[in-house]
Amino acid sequence: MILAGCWQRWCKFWFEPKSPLPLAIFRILFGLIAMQNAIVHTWPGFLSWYGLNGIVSIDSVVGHYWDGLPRLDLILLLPRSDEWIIAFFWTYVLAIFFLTIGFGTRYSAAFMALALISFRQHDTFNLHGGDTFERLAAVFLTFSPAGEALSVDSMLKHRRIPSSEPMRYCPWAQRMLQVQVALIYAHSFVSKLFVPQWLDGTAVYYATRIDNLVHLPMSWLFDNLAVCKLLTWFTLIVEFSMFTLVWLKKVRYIVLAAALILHLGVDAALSVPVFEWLMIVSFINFVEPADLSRWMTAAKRIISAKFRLRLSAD
Amino acid sequence: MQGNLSRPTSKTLGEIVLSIVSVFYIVVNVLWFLPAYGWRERLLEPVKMWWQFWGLGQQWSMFSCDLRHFNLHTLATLTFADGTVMLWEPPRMERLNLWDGFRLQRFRKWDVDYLPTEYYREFCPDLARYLGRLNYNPQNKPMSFALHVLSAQIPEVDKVFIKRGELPEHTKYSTIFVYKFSDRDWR
Repeated sequence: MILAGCWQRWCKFWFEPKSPLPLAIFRILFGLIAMQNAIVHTWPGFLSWYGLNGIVSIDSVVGHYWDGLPRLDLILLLPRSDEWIIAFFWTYVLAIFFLTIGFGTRYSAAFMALALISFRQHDTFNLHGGDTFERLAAVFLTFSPAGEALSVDSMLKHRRIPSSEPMRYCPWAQRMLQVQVALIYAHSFVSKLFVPQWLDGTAVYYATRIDNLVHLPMSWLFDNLAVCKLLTWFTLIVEFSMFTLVWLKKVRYIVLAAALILHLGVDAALSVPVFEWLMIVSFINFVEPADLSRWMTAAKRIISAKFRLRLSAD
Repeated sequence: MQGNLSRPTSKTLGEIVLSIVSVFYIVVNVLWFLPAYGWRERLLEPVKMWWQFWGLGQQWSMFSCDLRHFNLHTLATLTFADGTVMLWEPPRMERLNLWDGFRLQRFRKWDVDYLPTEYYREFCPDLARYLGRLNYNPQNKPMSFALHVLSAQIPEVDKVFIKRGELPEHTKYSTIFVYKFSDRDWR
């Protein structure tokens, strides 16, 4: 009986149909950040990283990094020329664009995931946390109904099969995205527990003194040891909450708000752009669809009221 | 006794399969995060190859074991046949404006987190050849390449509280790699 109850609760969590709205909004924002990452960060010096005469040769990567094991790298299947590698990159950008607008959503996400895996295997030294999260999220989006709302796919589908019923889908992939985010915070939190500076409160002092990471100086905040200590402990509390308390409905939004403040703060103080933004948009997957719809309706009402006010003033 | 002994539907089977995938993903990742204990290696051995094949490996120990107490940057030198020395420095974020620093983020990561590490030594000959090729002149060939690290300690907070805008210049210097070019490098 207890086992059956557990299984029911488990199934309810992973498989009870839900609105795809949070996933769809995540898909759009995720796509915009991924596009920015590709065009603004990866494209400058692209051939230095992945070109035939790049900084690191693929022979060295295979010899020293692959450990003699097979790896998925679609770039190696292309004819050996820089033009083909560039074409592969722009196809990847096109896939991100399609994912963002929700056109052939699952295929676009699948190609994006395969391209990101290939880039990772081809040059492991051009990789940051944002790339890793993008890669994993693209895998889960491939198996998700992210294209079932706010997308070209859903528009075409509704034209073919008109339906007034709000559609609901198995949220397994969305749950996996939530679990992935929780795993990130869990690993980050536990590793910090073994570093004395995180426990004595001086970690933020050292992190904000890494000179090539300085984004905005914010001396008024970080040139005060007491503030540095408070922020160190605040980080630990938020990271702990993001894989524990975030699962409790009652406190979820408080935890997410605290995590939002943390990431906005890190983004302002330190220059680690893509990862911070991806973390922030991934919070949407934790929001209840009903709440999201309510917030969107309220936002629409405010915007249209302002617009009407402006029109009448004109 | 009540109970229905019905055959599992395809929906239930799907749920079982997805449940196994979910638990497997969580367990493997938790093992992946652990330090390299012998038992962890043994448990991961059967999945490691496929996990890496599909690029599923991940590490999120940000600002923890790698929380730096010093600042650094790298500098490469190319010495040519006539004795001239060319300096080459990857983009340094602290000297760039906000936009360029933002745009060239990937070079920051490479310059500081990868280039100076012991692991990267295997790849340094590639970097030497890359820079040698970029600056190749058949009348004055590059003869050698050296990679240097310049660093400065971040003062310990309990001794001196240093302000964010007053960080010391990178004055500690060490050469970490030297490479002599041969004709084979230019083929």
